[in-house]
Amino acid sequence: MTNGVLLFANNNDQIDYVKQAVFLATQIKQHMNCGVAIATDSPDYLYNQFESYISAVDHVIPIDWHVTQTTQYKRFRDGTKAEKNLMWKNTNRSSAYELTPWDQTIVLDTDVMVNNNRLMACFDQPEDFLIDRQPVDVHPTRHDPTFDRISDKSVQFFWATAFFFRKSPITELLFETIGHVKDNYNFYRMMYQIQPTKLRNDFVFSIAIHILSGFQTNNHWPQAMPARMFMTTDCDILHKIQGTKMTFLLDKQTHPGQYTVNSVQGVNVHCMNKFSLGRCIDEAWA
Amino acid sequence: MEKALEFGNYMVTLNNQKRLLKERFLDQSVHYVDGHKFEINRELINYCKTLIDLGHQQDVVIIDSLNAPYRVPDLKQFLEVILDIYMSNLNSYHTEYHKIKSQRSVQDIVDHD
Repeated sequence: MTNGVLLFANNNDQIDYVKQAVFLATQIKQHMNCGVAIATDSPDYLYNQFESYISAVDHVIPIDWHVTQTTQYKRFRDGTKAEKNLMWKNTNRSSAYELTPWDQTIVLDTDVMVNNNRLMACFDQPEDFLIDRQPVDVHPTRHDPTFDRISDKSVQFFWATAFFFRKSPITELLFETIGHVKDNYNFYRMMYQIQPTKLRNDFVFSIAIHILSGFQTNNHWPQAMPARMFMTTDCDILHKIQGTKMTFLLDKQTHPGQYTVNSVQGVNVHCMNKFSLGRCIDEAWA
Repeated sequence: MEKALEFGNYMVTLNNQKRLLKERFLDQSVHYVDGHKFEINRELINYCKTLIDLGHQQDVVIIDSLNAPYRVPDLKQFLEVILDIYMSNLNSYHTEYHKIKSQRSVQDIVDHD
């Protein structure tokens, strides 16, 4: 069976997802040594700007993106004191099944930092589908209930940030269901009592999983990813990347604009502050 | 007062750094074999040791961390592997823990190598 990691990278005016994807590809090559594919609406930019790192990318998959009336905008924070409202091109995730060049695929957000090889265990386990469920917050005290359930009285929350699938009739059905939920998102949003109107992959995946679990909470399927994902939100700031060590300024929730410092080493981290991630990548490559 | 605030930040960073080290230790203390996942802890180690002491060594069925049964061909060898992983991670956890414990400033805690 062929194995690899698929990344989606669609740039907007301010955030360079392609740069994040190329940086992540180099980390994957270093720690996991498996194939990497980047699905992007900016393949020319990727080839032109990141020529010296392109060897880390095995496949570049061009995808079309057209600005339509349904194009979403989202508030992206850079710590607690700065934010920007930017285009959010996040609706391709449901096509991972058709786009992947591999039989077994790990799909990661480009703002995930891979610092060990533990995700490789996905390829040698029997489950056809794995998804992140309960990441470890790097913050000492934060507990955000919106990461437990997709709304107060609704179903379990799954993170589409990192998932694994093996091509099979069941995962094909899962991705068809994901596509169906995405296409009829307003209906499902109301049915599942989701207040935000923006389409979010985590919600779409959570709803599809709930449907395929017979509309029941199912603690046996899907199983969690093998490596624990550590996470920081966009209220935190990534300060420095040194090899596998990452240092963060963590939001002091009761004192906006104040931070405490902590570092993690050798673990995979979902770093939601894309601006600080971009700055640290520039610094690491300098 | 400035010193008190500085010390407060130091304590937050120190305690959180200890927690993150423990989380990393838990993340690392996992053994994958034949598609099965075993979270290695004292319970698993003691259970394997007890079974061996009672004479169960070949083709022993145990439950993995995802509640699936797994037939271990040689339990003694399995125990050696998980003990090796556990002790190696525990030593690394111990070293890191004592490094940060001896640091006296926020900067030293996050900058130590």
